Amino acid sequence: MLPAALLLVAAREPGTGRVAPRYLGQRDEVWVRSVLDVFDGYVGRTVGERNAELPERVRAIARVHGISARAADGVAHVLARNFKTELETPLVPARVRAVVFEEASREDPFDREASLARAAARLSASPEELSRALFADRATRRRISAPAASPSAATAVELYNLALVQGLLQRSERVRVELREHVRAVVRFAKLSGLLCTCAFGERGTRLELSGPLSILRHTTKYGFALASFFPAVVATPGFRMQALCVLGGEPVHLEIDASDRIARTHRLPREADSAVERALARDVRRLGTEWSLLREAHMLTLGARAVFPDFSLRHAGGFTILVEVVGFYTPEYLRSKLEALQAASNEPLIVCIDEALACADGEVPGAVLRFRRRIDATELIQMAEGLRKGRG
Amino acid sequence: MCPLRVDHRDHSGRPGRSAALPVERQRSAQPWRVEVRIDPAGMAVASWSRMGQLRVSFDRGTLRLDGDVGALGAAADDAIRFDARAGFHRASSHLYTALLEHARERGLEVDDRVRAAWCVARAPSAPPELRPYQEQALAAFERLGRRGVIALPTGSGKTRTACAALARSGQSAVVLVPTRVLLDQWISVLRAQFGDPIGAFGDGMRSVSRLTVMTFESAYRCLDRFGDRFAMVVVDEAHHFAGGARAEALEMCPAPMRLGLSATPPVPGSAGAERLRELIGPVVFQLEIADLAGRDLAALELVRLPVALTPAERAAYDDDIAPFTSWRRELRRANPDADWLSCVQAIARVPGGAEVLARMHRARDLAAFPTAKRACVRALLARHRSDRALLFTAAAAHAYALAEQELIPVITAEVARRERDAILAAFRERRVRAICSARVLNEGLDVPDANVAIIIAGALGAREHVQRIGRILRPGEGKRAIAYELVTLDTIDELRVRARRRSLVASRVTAGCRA
Repeated sequence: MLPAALLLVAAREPGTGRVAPRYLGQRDEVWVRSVLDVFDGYVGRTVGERNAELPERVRAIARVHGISARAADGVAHVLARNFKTELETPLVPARVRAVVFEEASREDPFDREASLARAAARLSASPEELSRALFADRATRRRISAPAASPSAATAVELYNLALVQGLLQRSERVRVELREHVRAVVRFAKLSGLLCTCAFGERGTRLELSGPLSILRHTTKYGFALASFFPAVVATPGFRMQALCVLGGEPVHLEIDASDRIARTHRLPREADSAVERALARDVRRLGTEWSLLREAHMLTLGARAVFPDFSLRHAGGFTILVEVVGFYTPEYLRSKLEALQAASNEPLIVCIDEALACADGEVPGAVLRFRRRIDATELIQMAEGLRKGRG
Repeated sequence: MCPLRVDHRDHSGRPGRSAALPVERQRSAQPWRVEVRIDPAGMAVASWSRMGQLRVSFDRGTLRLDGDVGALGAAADDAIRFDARAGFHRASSHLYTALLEHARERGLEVDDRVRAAWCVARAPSAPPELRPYQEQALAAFERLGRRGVIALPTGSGKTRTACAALARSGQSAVVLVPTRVLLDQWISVLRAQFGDPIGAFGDGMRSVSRLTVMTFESAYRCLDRFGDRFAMVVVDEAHHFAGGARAEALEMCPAPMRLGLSATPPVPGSAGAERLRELIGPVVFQLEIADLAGRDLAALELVRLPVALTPAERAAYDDDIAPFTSWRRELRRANPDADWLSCVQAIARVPGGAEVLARMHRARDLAAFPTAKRACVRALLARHRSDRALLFTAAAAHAYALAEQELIPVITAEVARRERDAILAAFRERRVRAICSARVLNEGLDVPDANVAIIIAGALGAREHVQRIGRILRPGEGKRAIAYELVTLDTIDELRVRARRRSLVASRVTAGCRA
């Protein structure tokens, strides 16, 4: 994520507060290639040397190509993370320091050379080696090593664009996303980050509004980090559109981003976060070869602005559908709230599979209940589903 | 017309599916209030609540209010918002006490779920022995409803006073500290005093206990999850919460008992002071260094040592500072009230301004750490070979340069916890005689026997200076502390020292000290 000083936006319509990130594009790849070459030249030298010299060299490239110094600094910021560093001494600097400082404190008056010589004798090294090792673990003293794979200019441009958007989102108060696919994965990701998520449907797909609880009370960028971290998951979904209310230089601006923007896709949408139990059940139902099929990407149900995702749905070839919720560790309040939400949002019957080994409370559970230990019996589940289908039929 | 969904949540929070008023509610003699709102999906949501009842609970950093919120009246309108995303009202957590008092004044029956969430209380334990002024400070805090800031100079025992407050309350508490060094220090102090397992958030630790210590950064990130576990919050170096986003950490904590500790509280009447009053409470007790020096704090001698740049340094300095001085003169001619910061901001905006500022920073660095100061430090360390000295620089790079030159340990943010602890242990055991630092040693660190401070340069003004001097003031038998302040003549460094001195005189820090 780019720091505030390197963020660049362009007004979409002057005076409206609507802005777009000032992305780099294909024609920028020429000077980005030059910046990459400068970086490659520092392999084998120290981070401190690079820090001291590189900004001026990068800005010189910016001047030659007539581009913003901040954009060039931003590219340098992104590329710097690509290079690993290593210690240039076989000694352990912290150990060297402990011995050297203790020796230096011992005699009066202080004699630097004599102190180093005594410490060197204790550590079986030469005074020169100790001098070199003393602060060799400081970030600026470490040697830069060649990356496993140097990014191409095109990749560097996309990584810069991603870091730019994330830097902007880090200063956001709330975000609106329109998604066509992978709503469940994105909603889960958002909720894990502590964000409040409301849903609505439109012609362009599902519209999610994301913000944090505190943002109802005051302008806060507390959730900016969560909103920025969650962005790579959004980029991974095709056809997304996003609007964010950001605070830049104390002023609110509306940031607009969409799937046509050239942004690196670093995130692979997570596999559904299902458990071993759920995976085994899907497999077992398939093997039974009945008229029932278990759908793992169950459809989203809505309860007003709240999105509810049942774990599975069991669909009969004749068109009848049953929701299946697998419950591991639970509290009665949580379970009641979740199941009532499912039932309030859908007219379809519900089967609840409860792991008895993990259940922490007794009590009435709404819906048909199938208790299991470690593995859900697929045959029992299908029998129960048949019973519900016939009961409704 | 929007579709109507009736959400008759009762105090169990259970939604129902029927739009009809439940039978038991129809029969109830007590009246019900119905509110209809439009949720973000465009649905109308009706909520029922029994009149005269209010439930207050904690929800992700805020207070969740259910029930007869309308009965709180217009006075509470500014503090309470309806959250259509979640379907209930919210208020900022730090208003917990005020809100409850207000609700009870309005005759509401309050179901307080916040109190129920507190970690199990500790048995009140014997508080540590206090000096008379510490006792007075604690009495003032307790008399004023256990909400307020105790302002005592560094070394005068603020931590001990806070431990006494914790012991007397016997409640679960969270202590917020600005740095990782202080995190470790507070954990040790609390463990020694209370013996309980101490929870910690920050520096790689994540555990909650009845007594928990958090860095400010961790508190900002996680008090929305754990803020309701504590009945008391203690804020060390509370002046940091006078502004900035991190102050939101305190807004996420409903703890009714709130104690701030500071050696340098914001100026009364300032925006910072008002913010602290809102988040923690007013300054309930205050003493300055001059009130305690020589009796409850070590006697202090302040020595100013002027140094000059070498001819080559002078030429380089003048060359680098000239464009900035010229720009600044122009700006002040146009606007005589323009201060340093507004001048810097104005210069940054003009073409070529970045270069001007970069050269100014180079000149400032040179003035903060010229050859003469290095030589001066060497002479002072030789003079105080038998003492224990703390060296303060303006920048970490200067601290490392000194460490390499004089072979003394350095503590900066880069130094890992294990090495930092080893350095402090070596210092206490006199295996090393000096420690160098830029900012990490500025606040809070307990170094009981340090008696010499060498302030090579500062970057953060009078408050930093007071904190640094405070490092050597912890009392000891016959202890006499001496603080050297190195000043590079005819440079920005001298201007900074003068500004610092004016501020110190105004706050009586130098009164009673021999300079």
